[in-house]
Amino acid sequence: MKFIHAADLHLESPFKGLKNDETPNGLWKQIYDSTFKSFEKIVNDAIQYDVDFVLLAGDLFDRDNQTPKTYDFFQSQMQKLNENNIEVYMIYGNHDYFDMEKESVSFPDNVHVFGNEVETKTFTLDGKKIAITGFSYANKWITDKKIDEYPVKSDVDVQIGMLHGGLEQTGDHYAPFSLDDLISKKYDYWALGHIHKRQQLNDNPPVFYSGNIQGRHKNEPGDKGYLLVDDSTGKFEAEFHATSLIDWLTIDLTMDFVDVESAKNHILQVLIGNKYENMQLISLNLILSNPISDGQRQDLEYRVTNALIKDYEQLNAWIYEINFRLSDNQKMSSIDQDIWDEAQDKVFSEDEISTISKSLRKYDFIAQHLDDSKDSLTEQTKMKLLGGKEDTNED
Amino acid sequence: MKINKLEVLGYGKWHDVSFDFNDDNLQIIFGNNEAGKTTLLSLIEGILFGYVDGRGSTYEQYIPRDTKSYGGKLTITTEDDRNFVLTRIAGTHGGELSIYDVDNDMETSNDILDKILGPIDRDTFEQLFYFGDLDIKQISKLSKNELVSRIQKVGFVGSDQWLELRDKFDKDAKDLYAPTGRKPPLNQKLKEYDDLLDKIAESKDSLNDYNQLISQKNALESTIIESKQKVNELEKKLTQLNHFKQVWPVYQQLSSLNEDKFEFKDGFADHDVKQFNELNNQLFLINQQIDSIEKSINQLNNSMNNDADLQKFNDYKTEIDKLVQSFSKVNEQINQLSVNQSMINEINRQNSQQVVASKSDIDMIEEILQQIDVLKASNTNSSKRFSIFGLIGVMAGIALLTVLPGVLKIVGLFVLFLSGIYTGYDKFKKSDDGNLDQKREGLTDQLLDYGNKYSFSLDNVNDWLSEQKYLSKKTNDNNQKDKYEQESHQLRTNLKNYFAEWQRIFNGLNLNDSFDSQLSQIRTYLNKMNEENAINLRNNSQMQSRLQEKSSLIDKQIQCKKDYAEFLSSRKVDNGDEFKAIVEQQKNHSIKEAQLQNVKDQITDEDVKNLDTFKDINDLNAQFDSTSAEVDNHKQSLLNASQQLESLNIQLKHVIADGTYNELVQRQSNLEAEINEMVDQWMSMKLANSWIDESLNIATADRIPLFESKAKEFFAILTDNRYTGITYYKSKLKVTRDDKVQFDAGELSRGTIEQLYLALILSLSVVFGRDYRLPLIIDDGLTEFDQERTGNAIKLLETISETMQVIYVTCDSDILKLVENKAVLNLNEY
Repeated sequence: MKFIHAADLHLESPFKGLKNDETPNGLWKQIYDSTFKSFEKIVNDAIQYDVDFVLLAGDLFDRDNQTPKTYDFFQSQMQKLNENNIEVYMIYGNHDYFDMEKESVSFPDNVHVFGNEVETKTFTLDGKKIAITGFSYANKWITDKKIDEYPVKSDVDVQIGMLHGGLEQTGDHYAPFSLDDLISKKYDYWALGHIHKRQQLNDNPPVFYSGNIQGRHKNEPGDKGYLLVDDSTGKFEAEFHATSLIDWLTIDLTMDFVDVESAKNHILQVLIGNKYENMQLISLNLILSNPISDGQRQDLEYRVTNALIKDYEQLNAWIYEINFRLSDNQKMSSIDQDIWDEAQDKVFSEDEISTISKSLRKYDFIAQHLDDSKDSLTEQTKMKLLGGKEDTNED
Repeated sequence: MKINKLEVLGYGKWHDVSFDFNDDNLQIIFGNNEAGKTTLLSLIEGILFGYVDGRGSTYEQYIPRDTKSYGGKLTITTEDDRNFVLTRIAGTHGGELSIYDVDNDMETSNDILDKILGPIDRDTFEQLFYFGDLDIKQISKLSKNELVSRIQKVGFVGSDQWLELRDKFDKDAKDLYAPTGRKPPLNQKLKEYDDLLDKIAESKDSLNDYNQLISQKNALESTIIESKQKVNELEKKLTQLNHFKQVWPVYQQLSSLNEDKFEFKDGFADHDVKQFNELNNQLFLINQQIDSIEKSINQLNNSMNNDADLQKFNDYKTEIDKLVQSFSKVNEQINQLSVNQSMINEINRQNSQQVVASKSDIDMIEEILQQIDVLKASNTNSSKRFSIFGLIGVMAGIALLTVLPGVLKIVGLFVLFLSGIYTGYDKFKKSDDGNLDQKREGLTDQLLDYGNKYSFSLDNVNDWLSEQKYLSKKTNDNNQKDKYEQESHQLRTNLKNYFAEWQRIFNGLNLNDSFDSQLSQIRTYLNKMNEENAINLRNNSQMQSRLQEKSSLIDKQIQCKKDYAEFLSSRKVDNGDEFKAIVEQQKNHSIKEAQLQNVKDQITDEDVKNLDTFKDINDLNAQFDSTSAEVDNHKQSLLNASQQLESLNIQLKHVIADGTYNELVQRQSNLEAEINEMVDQWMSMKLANSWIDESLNIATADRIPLFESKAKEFFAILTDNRYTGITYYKSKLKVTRDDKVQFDAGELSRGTIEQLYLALILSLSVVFGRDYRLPLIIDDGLTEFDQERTGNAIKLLETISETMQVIYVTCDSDILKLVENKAVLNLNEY
């Protein structure tokens, strides 16, 4: 038996953290196509490897960002599998929740969608009786321990569990479960979805998050794809296959800043040296031993951007942001550092940040961003102060 | 640390020059504008903290143009009275430093400098000990309130710089974003974002459009499938109906053929008909034969002379035979009678005739005739024939004269006469022929002369002759006449009796006719009768054979009729016509059946069953037409639906291909990134300001009490003791006038505030300077002050110089009057 375990396609969901004006059009095209291409690759692999079936463990679309194109694309891919006699077992997750009582959608015959209640679909494969158990989200959140409704492995040769959700400690909104819950069902394989980072929770039975198929922001770094699961050795073994076209990457680069041009060249040298095979969207943390001014910072950003617009395809790299930091030994003041430190604790408190950003916080994305970027703000502020002081000194 | 000497190797306009500083701590450096004052200060700072390079900055202007050496030497005395010469020349990282230990007369480690400077770096030095021209001037640009607030933060090292930065950030932040503003870029971006969200919401409708289109499409597709099925059904029906229409004639035929039931009887088959016909033929033949025989019998019968005459003839056969035997005798008697009569007649004629020719004439005539006859000898034949006709005529004439009654005798005479003429004419005519015609004509002419004489013609010359002869005899025979008459009477009586006897038998015999005629009639009668009898005899034998034939045929006919009757009766028909009718009937039915079979082959039972449901062909046609119309309707609606589907598909394609939403959402994401970046900018400026404020607050609160007393002293000096106290309470700075009245800093005059500020920053330097003891450098800081204040300021500097070196750089020559000469380094003199 051979099957593909994939999840969290998030077809057509946008990439976060990129800036419109700077990113080259050609790259945009790749970005727009990336989720589609990645899934298309999975489907093509399914056909090429002649798998018996494909498991899609939820969050195939972003319900908030679905377009006709997405549906059309997904349908066509399902049809392609259908034409190759590959069955698809899919569940809906928290992003593409689907209330079967209120809505309906039709897929080709090879697509088997699990209902909103836990159900088991059985079939025979090579003389073996296979059971697949799963359910689809009807709402955005499921706080019940749906896992309790999963039956213990019954009179079948192989039973596979499909579940979209998180371990109890990671968030209780999403059909929480514990590893013990899963193991107690005595299934042969657990195909999990929801967590975008690929990971194995348990060895025997194998419990896997396949992760999403295309990173969409800097917190989904590295290659993404699907798991090809095979029991030909008598044991279910999952092998990762990368399908993502664009990977997210964060680079820390420490350097002595002498001037903008040499800093830019240094950065490009690093990119050239890394010889990326996949297109990398890079968040560059530039750790400087001395402060630079806003003007220098902007100048460096422009120069890096302009250089990459020309060469990003050859380098397979696009730096979409540069975070300037000062190395730790940089002090605000040689004699008043204690005062700066004391003030820092006060100023960079959540309260203080909230108060300052009050008028902006009505935008969720800003509030979210600010909540997530306290350290970064501190660094930026420090750079601003020190760089700004340099500037005024020069004046 | 005190600077004793500055040697310039090469720096800006200066090179290879050394300046000895005042032994006392107050050092006034005087020079006109562009005299190189600030250059020297820069060099001092450079030697202490390193030359700043690489930033295209002000230091580059100090790289001397006319000498290769760059840098200078600073001779200093430390707090612990050690003397060093600090040399810094061009080099990386701020220049190449070397330190000479004057006391030990040796180069020493550069670490010494760090020890001397302590934590004071360039920044701190500039903040604490270096009051540049601009710093003080800037103070003068500040509003009173700003100045006051700055004074309150003065306790922080470099506070004015930080505050300046803060103000810049404040402004930049405001330029970037104002919570209630519209124009700043971030505000605009947020507006753009709001608009984008609206657009996205709008664009989301395209999904509704899509869903609507999809559901329309699904509905349409199912309609099309239904329609197609319906059309298929209807077309099948139509095909069937069409088939029905085609077989309808057959069906109709079938139903007409099916109408009556017919039972075939045996014995009316073709061979029966043959037999029947044979019988009929046979019978007909027999009948015909019989008919023909009967006809011939009838013919024979008819040809049988069965009349009364023959009957009588046969009845009187014996008598007749007897009478016939006397025929010759009778004939003789008749002849006798005739002769007698002729005699009598001749006698009578002669008796009646007067002309009697002389014997000579007669002889002559006879002679001529004889000669003529000789002449005619060549022409015998004609004369013979001629004479026969003449003779017959004569004889007929005589006969007529004798036999016929009175009147008819005249006819007889005429006949006689005619025959005489004819004979004569003929002889005459013949005599003309031949070569002897001439001679004959002479003879004839003689004869004619005699004819004229005895009135005879050439034609009846012979008759005339015999008449003459007769006439010559008659006279002799008058007695004879009676005898003749007598005998004739007897003869006549006999003959009359004889013929009377015949007449008894032969009724047709006309007794009035002459005897010759009667006899001839009898002969004819006899011949006829005998002939008839002979015929009858012949016929009779034929008749016998015919009758025999007939009888055998009749036997056959009887047999045949019997067979025929049996043939009919065995088939229970009364007669042949009936048989034939039945045969005809059966034959027709056979044909019908054959037709039926033929028809049945053309149509199935199923068809028939179906066709039975139609009233008539009109019903079928009506159904066909209505179904056809229905098919057309459905096809049309199918076509419409297909066209609709096509247009739906195009719309769908359009909607699917529309990347607008996708792009908008990505743009939203991008805009968020951009906004967040701006927010970070804004926030970092705001936070920087908070941080500065907070740091200053902390520092001020902590430190002002520390230098409060110094500041009070300095403020008093600067104000000529008008203000005697400075207090710092609850983040507020208050000053006390000599009349004990307290003022908030804000209540002071501008000049006084500036004095307060100077007092504060200088006291801060002095307080910090106590620990670090670096020279206090003031670059033309008092230019704004009036004379009195400047004097006070100088007094203050003198006071400060009691504890630390004070280097005051000025272009104000008035100041030179306020200080000792030795304290002055006049650059104008170099």
